[in-house]
Amino acid sequence: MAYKLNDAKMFADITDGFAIVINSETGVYYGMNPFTSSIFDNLVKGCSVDAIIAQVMSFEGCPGDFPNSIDNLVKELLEKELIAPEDETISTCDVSSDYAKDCHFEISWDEFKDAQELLLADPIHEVREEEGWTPDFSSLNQDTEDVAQREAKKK
Amino acid sequence: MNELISIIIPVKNGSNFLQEALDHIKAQEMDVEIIVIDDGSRDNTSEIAARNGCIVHRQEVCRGQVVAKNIGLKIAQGVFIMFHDHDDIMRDGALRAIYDAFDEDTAAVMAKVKDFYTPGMTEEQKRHTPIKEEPYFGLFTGAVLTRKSAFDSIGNFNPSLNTGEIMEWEHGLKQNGLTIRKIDIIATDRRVHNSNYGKTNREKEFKDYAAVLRARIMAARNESNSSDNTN
Repeated sequence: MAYKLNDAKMFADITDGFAIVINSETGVYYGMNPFTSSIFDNLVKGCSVDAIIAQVMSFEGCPGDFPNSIDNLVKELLEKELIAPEDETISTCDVSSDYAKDCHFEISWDEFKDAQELLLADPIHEVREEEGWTPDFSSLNQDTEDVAQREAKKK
Repeated sequence: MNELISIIIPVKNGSNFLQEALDHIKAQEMDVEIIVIDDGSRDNTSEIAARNGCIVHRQEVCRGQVVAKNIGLKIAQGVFIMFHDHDDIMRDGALRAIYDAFDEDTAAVMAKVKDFYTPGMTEEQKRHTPIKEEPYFGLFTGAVLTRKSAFDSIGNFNPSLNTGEIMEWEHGLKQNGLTIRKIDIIATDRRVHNSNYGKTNREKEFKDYAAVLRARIMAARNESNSSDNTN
């Protein structure tokens, strides 16, 4: 069985190995540890669960109950509508063995509801493209004073 | 009288609705300075603002609404700050009601907004642009009055973000133990236009949100780890 991101309502971003998935309809968001993020990344690229299991089980130190863990993960991802079934699969998976070992093969992800109001209020969506307000990004580097001020406040 | 309130309006090409927004702000009969940051408009936004007695800062190059807000904060002389969109309509008496809700422990007061379709939208366009039927909290522009001192405490907005800056800033507010008080009134009617925001921009927008939320989770984890180490 293969899956894809349920992009009708979900947005996913993986940066520095850390996945954030935002439900644009509810404002609920999810954060995953790097191992789970890597599995999720492969899942939504169309890698089958069986192929992921085969690859991760080949890693040294993989616990024997990993297939159960990933089955539970997929079940929960479907229940919360982060992913949807997909017909096409890809055969090559690339789950990170480094993240697997760093995370001790632990599948861990959390649901957060602390930003719902702000995410749902979302002032940008209703801007018309032809009247849009995309900055000249090269100009943003000039704000060294703001950046320095913000960094100072954090210390 | 009231302590001076700075109302900051970041705007680009806002000549179609700016006058109406200014009329409703001036009708509040409060002591306010209105600061319009014209972010590279190609229309007569600056002229409209100047004609209405606003403080106008015009940028030749568009630098986005976050930078525009920060510029407004640097210009502002008020004890209180409110951001306002150029196309929204503040309800009569709203600013007074929000102002009166402050006590000395409150850093910001948040009221509700209510969506409305801008006149002229077709039924087909409305079908593709659903609005919230009920008033709601969460929008900062036109609905939140903040003590300027809160910005002094936690800094201005993150200029590397094009959106999501409010979310990050609000988190900073909470981390500093500053409180937002909510009041159950509608402060502003929020104009909704025909929505066909580009997929590319939408992805950039959500990527900014994700970056803010990721930092938020990491900060909570670091705090938790630090607390565990202390105990």
